[in-house]
Amino acid sequence: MVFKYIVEHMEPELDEWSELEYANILQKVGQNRLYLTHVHPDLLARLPERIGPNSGIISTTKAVLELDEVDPAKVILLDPSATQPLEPSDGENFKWLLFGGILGDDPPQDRTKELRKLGFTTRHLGPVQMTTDTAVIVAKHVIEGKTPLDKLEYVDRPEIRLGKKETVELPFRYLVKEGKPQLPNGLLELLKKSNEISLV
Amino acid sequence: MAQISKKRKFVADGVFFAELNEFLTRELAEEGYSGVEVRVTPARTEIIIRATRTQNVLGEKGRRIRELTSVVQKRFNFPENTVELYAEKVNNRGLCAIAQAESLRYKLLGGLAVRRACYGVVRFIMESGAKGCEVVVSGKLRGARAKSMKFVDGFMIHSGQPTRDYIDNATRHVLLRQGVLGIRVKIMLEWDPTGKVGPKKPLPDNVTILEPKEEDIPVPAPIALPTAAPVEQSVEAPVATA
Repeated sequence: MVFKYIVEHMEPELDEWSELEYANILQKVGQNRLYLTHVHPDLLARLPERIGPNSGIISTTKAVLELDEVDPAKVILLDPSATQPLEPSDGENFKWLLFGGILGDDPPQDRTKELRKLGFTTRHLGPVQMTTDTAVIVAKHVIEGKTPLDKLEYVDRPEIRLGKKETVELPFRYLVKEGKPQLPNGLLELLKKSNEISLV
Repeated sequence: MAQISKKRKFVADGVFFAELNEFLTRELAEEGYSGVEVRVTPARTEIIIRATRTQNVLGEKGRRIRELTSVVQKRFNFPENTVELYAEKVNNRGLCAIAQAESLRYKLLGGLAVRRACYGVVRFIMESGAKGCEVVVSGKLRGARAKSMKFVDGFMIHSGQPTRDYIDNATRHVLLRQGVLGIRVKIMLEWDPTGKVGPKKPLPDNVTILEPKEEDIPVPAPIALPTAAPVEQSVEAPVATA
């Protein structure tokens, strides 16, 4: 069964952070497997190239329920407040995995509730908030790689060094490889750059 | 004077101090307000305001401080001329966490980049003679995820009673157009035996090894050794070896 991943973009703009994460997801799930829904028409016209119409991401202004090819009964919504964790056996009954494309706050403001209202089956990926790309990659490991959630290696709230006297703590759960948190390409540069601009 | 029980009196004093402090924090944030001290004498109540920019607290020809006095007097129902406000300059603003947190707040509101503002504050604190400092700016702005940016220098302790003696903490909120950030400034003071710019007690795990004192080793008196037959021997005084 070919699994497809839907990210309903829930931010008013598509900022660099979202772009980095979506590009990272594309790299990990492959061509034509990632849907980006609910994108504003103006935004759709000026999507950056690496996540644009020719990148392999299927972007649309439609919301997830408006997509004809999606059967709502076969959709799992990944929701932190779900009661059941995602399990490898869920791959037998479901084909579509839905994520909220939200740039999260700490503590989380539960913006996934807007998708919860639509009545999909829900599953969670653990108690700690994850970034959208980490969530998709973890779900892929569980559903396609058949690895249970608790067998994957995580780090919570990693502190990343940006300079000799400067660090950044990211209050999310990340996958770990060789002792280091797996960050999307370009995130380190983005973090350094964001400290150099005025906030006003 | 209405008699109130001692318990109620202490609680009332605490509430008075809390409200006064909160009012002055909001009112005098731009003047580098650092704290109050309330001294009650039989004749009047003296309120000493510590700030970095006392000139602005006093105002033109003492106008502002008179306005503040009248506000305090009316709010807390003090009889006329029983409350006096004084402004005192903070002696070392680089070692005052509140002053530095407010200063950082205004830098960010003024448009300075986070890194530049925080490095500036850290450097000023260390140059003022702190043992260590830590500045943390946390929050979520539009278009980004929540994160916590931490800038440290020097030495810092985190646990135990010494944290109460050595560390000055302050947290402030900075309301920006894109969201609210939290600022936390933590300054570790240097040990100061005189007690002026730091705590008098040294750190509990601080070991001072004293140099041995120069001493003359006393020469012991010659001992007459018992012998079988009196033999004439020359007795030499034993040589002192250092």
